[in-house]
Amino acid sequence: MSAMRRLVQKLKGLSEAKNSRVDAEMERELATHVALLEEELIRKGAEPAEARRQARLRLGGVEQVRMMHREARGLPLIESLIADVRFGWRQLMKRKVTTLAAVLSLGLAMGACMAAFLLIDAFYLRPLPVSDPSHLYVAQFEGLNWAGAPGTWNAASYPMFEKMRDAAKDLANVTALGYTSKNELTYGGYQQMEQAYQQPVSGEMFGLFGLKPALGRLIGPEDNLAPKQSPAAVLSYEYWQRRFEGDTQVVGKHFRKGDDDFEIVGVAPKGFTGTELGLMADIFTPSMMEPWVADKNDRDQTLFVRPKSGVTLATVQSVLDATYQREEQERAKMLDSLPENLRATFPNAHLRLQTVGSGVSGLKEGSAPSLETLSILIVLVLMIACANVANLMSAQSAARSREMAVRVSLGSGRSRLVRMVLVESTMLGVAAAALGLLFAWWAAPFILTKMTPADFPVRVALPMDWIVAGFAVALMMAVTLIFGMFPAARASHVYPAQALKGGEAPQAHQRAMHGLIAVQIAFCFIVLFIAGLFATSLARKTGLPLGFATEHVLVMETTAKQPIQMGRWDALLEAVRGTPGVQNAAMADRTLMGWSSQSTAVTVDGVTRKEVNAFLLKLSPGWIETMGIPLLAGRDIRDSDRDDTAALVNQAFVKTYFGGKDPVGRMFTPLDSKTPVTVVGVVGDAMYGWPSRTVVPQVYQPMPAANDSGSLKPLQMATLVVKTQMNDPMAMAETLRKTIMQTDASLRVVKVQSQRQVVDGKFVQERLHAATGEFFAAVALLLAAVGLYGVLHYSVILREREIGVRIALGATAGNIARTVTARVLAMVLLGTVAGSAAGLGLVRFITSMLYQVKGADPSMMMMPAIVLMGAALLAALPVVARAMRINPVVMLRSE
Amino acid sequence: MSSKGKATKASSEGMQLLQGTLDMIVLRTLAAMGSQHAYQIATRLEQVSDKLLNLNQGTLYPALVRLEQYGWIAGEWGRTENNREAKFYAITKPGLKALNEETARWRQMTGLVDRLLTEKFSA
Repeated sequence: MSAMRRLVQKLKGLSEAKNSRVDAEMERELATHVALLEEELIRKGAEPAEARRQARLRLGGVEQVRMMHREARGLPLIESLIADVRFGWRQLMKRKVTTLAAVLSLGLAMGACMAAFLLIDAFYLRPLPVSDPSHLYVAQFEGLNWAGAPGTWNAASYPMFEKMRDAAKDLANVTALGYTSKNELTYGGYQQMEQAYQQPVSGEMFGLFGLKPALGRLIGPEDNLAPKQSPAAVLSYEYWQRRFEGDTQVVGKHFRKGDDDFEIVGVAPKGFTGTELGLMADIFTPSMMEPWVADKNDRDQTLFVRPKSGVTLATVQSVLDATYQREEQERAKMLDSLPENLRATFPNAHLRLQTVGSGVSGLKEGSAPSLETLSILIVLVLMIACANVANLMSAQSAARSREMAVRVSLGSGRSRLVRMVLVESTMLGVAAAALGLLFAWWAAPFILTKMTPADFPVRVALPMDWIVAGFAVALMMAVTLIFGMFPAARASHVYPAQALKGGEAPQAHQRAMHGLIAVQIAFCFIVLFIAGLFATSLARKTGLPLGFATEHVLVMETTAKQPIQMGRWDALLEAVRGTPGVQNAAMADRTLMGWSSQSTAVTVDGVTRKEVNAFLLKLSPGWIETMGIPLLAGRDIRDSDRDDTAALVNQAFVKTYFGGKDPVGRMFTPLDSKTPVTVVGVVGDAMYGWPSRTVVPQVYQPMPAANDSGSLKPLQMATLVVKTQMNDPMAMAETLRKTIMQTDASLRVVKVQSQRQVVDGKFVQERLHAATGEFFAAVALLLAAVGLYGVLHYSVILREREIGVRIALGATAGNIARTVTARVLAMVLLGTVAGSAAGLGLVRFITSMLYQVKGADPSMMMMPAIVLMGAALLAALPVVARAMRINPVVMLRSE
Repeated sequence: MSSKGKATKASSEGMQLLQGTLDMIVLRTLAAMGSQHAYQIATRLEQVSDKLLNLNQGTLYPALVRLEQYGWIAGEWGRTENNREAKFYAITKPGLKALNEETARWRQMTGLVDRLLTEKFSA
């Protein structure tokens, strides 16, 4: 009780006005005390002067009493801490340049660190938001892939899933998730289409993941019994909030996607946006609503397995694998194009159950090595920043050794000095962490958007949760401690006599500082070097000749409710060609560099080449012209070719199957159709589905083929390619969508992209590397420049007197510039050399991520060296200017 | 108020006060003598202790602040007989209570120490 009261009193004592009043009162009290003592002593016969001396002696030092009094009434720790903070602030403000440099370097580095942590957390650390994720497994297939090369994949067909689910039904729960894809849908008429990410899931998913609806109900097994039976849709919580502002009336609403009319039945729990990292599903729909549920060859399902309690993983795995082997062997009988050497032991792969961890994704697999690279870059950047701060702080503490010495001489405790310096560095650390947090908040989504083309954004939730906040705080404390302890230790080892005499030789510090500069430059060089390699790699890869035009071309995937006669498609193409702004239009059954492919072995002159496949594309007349693919021999296909018997082939096909001889008029037989085909023309090589230097053999046949009776098959889907006059063909998307719907009311455009966007989608990985490289190169360069500037600035201040004398003695501007920068520039050179050596050593770790770039390439070394030199000169410029402005008269008088 | 502290040592320079006991002594003085100013308290302490206590008079002030913060004493400005202004301290009701408690504890403590020190060992 009274202790409490005392604390309150003490806290009251913290107020300054009150303090000075109490101080005055105490003065009065002490004055009375001394006076009374004096009087008494005089009464006892002492001389007045002696009495005064005795009185003061008896009381003890007035100053000490005052101190004891203050300490008794206040909270000395807090008070002196407040004083330290005030003092520290003044100190930091006094040296604005160094402070700013330190905060900036630390802030940038910490920000980069936190941004990287956000991404690493999102990709690796955060578990899937499902119940008991540690007992959830994903089916993975390991073995030889289609091309006979070893690989792992996690895709199975939906019929395969059904077989596995039924085979393991007593041992485990199994669910299948389709790919999350961006689809066009509408909540109103077809005039107002919008896009959303949709993921088809089997009925078991929500139950197996232990998820409870936030609203309404979730999709269950009963929604997924037969094709097209239950058009139910569940929204993700995030999408519900974003699109419907959390409207609880959303249940019961309908949307149309293609020809299906879905009803929203509920909202998934908060935080669950599917299992694919880098993709957030907005809408979940039953797998059975998709056309591929019966297709054994359409493998795009990811299987999740949760063993029932008491069942070992190995048991489940063996049952599932047995099913896999049996089904695949069955399927192999239907696969005519399967290379013979793979057929006997097909599928040449085994099913393995892998723990899920934080999610499964092609993106994650793709970006895993790059996240390692990211970590390397992060460490390098942090080290650069640390070198900066170490340099700046030791510069400061050296400059302050005299001040410290004075403090020690005046009786300041060493612990108090250490605390003072620590308070200062904590203030730096807090400021830097605040800056870093802001930077990370901006940088993490920025890196993500840089990673991916605008059309295919990687979407990851990046919440600033307590893990991230904890990481930030820990990082800050670590950095503050490391760089606070250093000058603090130094401060506490001040020897007043020595320091006041003129201090230690500043050269000793300078040597250490210059060493750190060299190290810093070396690290920066490595970062720039790696970034350069990635950037060049991306440029080389995107610079590969595609063989077709990407600009001005719009790709529109269009479907009809029912297959419609070819005449209506032709009418549609006419209408599109007639739209103002359109140069040409044609259609095909798939997109070049898109995500689907079809291939077959080919027989020429009775010889079937099974080790290599030709890739197929069905197209309408005018397609090669619209795509800008040159016709090299023969003629384009015509309307009259609309059967299976005419084809265009590319140069690679000619080389592979006809030994490079003119094939026009010759025949070949695709193994799939077994109908002989006549080559009517040869076209230039164009990339089919992925970037590479060698183009695969390709066969372009008319679409659609005639059926047995000779009439044309009706067609349900086609991909229109439209050559526009627009630089941004997407600007015509809406106009064309309307044209198409007005021409034929049964047609729907399900997806619109520019051909450029389609191609960009193929360089995600390279883009990721290049973007992270660029980002860290920029940060590292900035840090190095800031560090160089800080050190140069400091050394000029340290040598102001010397420079003043030199100027007074007639040194020229060139002399001064050399004096100021010579050693630092030498260090930059040394760092560059060391950095290139280290870079050469490191490069073998990233060769697998490079395309057509050699680390030892001198041009790859030149670029960072030149950039670094430029940055060093830029950093030196203001310092040299400052040095030259030193007025010798003012300078020498001030000493 | 803790009674732990450095051991006292009698020497030619007099005795050092056990930590925490100063507060008790001040309270006792005020309880016995009524309202007193700091100089009076200091003088009184010297008289009673026969100068055996080597007390820096300044150390009295932190004790007075402390006791005032506890609310055990209350200070009021007044005039001495020679018409000097001085702050007079008087013990409060909680102060009296605290004094009694502390005195009892002190007796208990010294009794115990005494017993321990005078115990005969039957070795």
